[in-house]
Amino acid sequence: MIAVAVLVCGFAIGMAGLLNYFKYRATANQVVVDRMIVTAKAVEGSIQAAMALGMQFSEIGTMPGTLSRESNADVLIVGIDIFDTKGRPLYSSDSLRGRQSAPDSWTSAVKEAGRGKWAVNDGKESAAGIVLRNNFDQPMGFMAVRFSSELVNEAARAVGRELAVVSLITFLVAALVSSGAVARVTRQLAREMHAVESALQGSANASAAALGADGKPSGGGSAALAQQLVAHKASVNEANAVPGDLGKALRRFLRTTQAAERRIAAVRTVIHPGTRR
Amino acid sequence: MNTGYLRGIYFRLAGVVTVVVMLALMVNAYLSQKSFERALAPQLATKVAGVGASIRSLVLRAVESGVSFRELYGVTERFAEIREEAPEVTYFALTNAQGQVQHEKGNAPSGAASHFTSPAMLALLQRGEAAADGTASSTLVGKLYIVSLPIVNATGPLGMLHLGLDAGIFDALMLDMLMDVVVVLVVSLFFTMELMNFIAGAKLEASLRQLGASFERGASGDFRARRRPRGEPAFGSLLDLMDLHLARVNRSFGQAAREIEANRRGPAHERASALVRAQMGLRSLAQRCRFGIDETPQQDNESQLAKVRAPLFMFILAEELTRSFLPGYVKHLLVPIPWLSSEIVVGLPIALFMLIVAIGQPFLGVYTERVGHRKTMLIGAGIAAVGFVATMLAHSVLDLLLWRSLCAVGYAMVFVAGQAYVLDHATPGTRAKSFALFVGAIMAATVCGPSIGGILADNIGVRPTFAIAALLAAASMLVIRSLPAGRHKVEGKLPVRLPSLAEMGALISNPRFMTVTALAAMPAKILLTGLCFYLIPLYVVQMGSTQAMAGRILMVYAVVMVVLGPLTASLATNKTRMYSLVGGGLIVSGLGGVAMLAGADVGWVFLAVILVGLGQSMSIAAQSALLSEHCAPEIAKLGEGVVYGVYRLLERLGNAAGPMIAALLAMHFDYRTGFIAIGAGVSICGALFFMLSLSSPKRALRPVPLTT
Repeated sequence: MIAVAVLVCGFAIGMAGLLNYFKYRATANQVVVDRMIVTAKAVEGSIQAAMALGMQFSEIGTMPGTLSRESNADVLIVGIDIFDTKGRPLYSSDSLRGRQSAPDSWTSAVKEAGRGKWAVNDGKESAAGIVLRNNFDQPMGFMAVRFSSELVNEAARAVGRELAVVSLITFLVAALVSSGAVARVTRQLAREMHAVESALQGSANASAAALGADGKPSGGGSAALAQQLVAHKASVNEANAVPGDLGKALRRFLRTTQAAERRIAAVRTVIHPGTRR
Repeated sequence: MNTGYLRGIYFRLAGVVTVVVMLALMVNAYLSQKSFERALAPQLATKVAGVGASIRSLVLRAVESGVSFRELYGVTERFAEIREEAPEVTYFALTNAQGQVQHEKGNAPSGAASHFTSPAMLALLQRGEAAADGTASSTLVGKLYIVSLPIVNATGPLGMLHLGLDAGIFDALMLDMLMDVVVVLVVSLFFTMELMNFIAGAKLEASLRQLGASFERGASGDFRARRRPRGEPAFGSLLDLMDLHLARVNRSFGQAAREIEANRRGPAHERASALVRAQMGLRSLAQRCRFGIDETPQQDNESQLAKVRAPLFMFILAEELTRSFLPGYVKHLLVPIPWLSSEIVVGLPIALFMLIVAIGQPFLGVYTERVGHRKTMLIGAGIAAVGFVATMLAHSVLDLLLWRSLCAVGYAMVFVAGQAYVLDHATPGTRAKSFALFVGAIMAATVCGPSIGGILADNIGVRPTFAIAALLAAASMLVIRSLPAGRHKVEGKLPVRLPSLAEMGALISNPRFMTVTALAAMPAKILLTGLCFYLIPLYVVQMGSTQAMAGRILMVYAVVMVVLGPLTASLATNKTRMYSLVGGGLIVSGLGGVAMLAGADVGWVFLAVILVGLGQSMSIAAQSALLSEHCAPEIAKLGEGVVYGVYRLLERLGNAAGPMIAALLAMHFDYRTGFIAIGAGVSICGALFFMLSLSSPKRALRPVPLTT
């Protein structure tokens, strides 16, 4: 039972720890995505301001500088790219990347997001962003804020280690406490069972003493029977130490079996007159 | 021995482990929450700093354009705009180089003024730089976490921008996490009980039962020698001692009988004078007690029966894991299908699954009888495991239909074989208890599966969660192998047969049969699958909530069923109550759907599910008994197996119809209307059932087999 208790503790706490870690990672990712969206919104503000001055979306000269500045403002940001609706590059904070089209995973995520924000978290190409719309609420492209998954994963690993330590300590304490508690219950149970065994053994000894080596009633007649009765009563008294329903069941068991034994012994005494004194 | 004592021991042992595990999980949850808070607070502060950076650059641009820092205008308006973008920021303040507030929006927390003018803040302004790692720091002031950003231009420090993040935002975040922790706690407790039952509970219970039987034998004077069931019991030495005790009495009796016989056959002069008295004494003892050898075969049916619980739980858990996110997954794999709307296509895999289970069950019953429980369950679990892997790799809804069909065939095989196993190992007296074990395993899986599945899908993704389901189904095969290979012989049990079309026709045209079937059983199942399996997962996600939330809601349904099921079943003590429970249950569960009229929030979905769970727990237990009441002549004519077979078939067709009806309603109206319309329909069925049952004469109820 102690092994069961330890296993159960390990299972429950392990599962809880694992799910807690997943939950943390999902929440932390969401916070990071929200953080990237804040930056994206700030860039969007600049785009809207430029367009309000009559500039074309694809011809905003200050955009690379703005992207570069915003990109440097947060250590998590690897770069900021702006694409047209088909995923063709328009602007990028990273001049080397300027000609690269948006990965398929990004365009699919943008499509699924519809009007809202989008995010893709797949290692090297992790990005979050928004769909850019013109004054007529028509999509004119989308923005991608690329961020370092490694930093996010690093933080998640650190929390994971912390959660693992917490779970391990909790498990060890729980396993110890539950083992102790189970041992206590089983000891109590063992004590009760020992008392039952002791009463049964007493009764068996009393019965054995009433029979000779040949299995026939020994000692002779009513004296032996009286002796057996006294021994039986003693074992029933011993059974009184067993509490509750178990004690009741034991006493009923002993009374019936002992009564039957005495009855049989009496019968055998009758047919073995030679043993009488 | 009183069975209460046996139960007492079991619950004492299970209780201490459960309490310790529960406390440990709570401590673990608390400590994890603190870790989350420590890790997330700086990240949230950095996000807020990002919001502040845009205000800061605006201020700097204005100052560079010649506007004095003291005479900035439109700042509070900009604060209001930013608040729409970042609702978690509830307070903004712009202070000058001395820390005095120039502009502010929102309620300042107590102690804000002294915080702004504190030496630490002024020193931060003088340094005028953010942390090297790009993270922002926050300070708890009153009930707000204040994130402060220095505003510095080429001429020197101008002032500070302070953004107040409501500490409640962390509470809300933590509450969401805590809800998952509670789910984990509930699920862990159910897992714990199942694991304990699997590893030790069954053996302990069997040993205690043997102990009780030995006490009872001795107390009732049954001293006959008998063979103990196979296996090593937990109280072996005590049982040996008791057996020795009984055997000694039995042996003494035998010896006494032989001695009397020997004495009787001896020469008259050697006979004991009191031989007749001895004979009378022994005869009188033989009348009160039993001696000799007990030839009755000793079968430990209950121990064998308990073995089916663990594999059933594991297998059903695999399927239940997918419950909360399957419709969303189907939606993700949608491809245009001519003549079929997307709502119908989303419902198709669920409906097809239920249809295969419904139609397959009668045939699989015959198959199980031929090849045996273990083999059927092994094959079924294997097919389902393959189905889950294929579902994980599905390209579109079209191939998904095929893979879900595999899962359905596997599910039906395991379910039917499990049910047959229980029936074969139960005596008429223990049938209800045995089915409680079967239903208990399913309900435990229903509690654990959707909630954990939802959390897993949200955190590790839907496809990996299908992989876990496949692993569970495959792992259940290992446990199924522990079941006995041969089929248990049941005295007097008729072979399973399929109902003929004529028999089905006779029953379907029978108004009494259809009153219970079409007005109670089928609507209950339509409501269950339409609402719980189709509408809830889709509606909850559409409302902007998560799959984990859908899982939690479905868990609530199962918990209500587990808690209230036994209670409402115990109320079904007479026929009037049974009518009330069935009719009333349908009306209550229907009101669950109608409750969505009152509001559209997730809270209302919770209420709807609680009412559905309450109503279903009221009606399901009593429905079978009422069928027996209504169709006593048909049962006498066609047999219980046929009547119940057709009843179960129609009931499960209700399962298949549920998602389709819900999909049609969602297609023509919306999800919420689907809840309301199905709920109203079921309530009307309940009312009609009441009216029809009140108008028909009631006969005495007969005991009926319980099935799920």
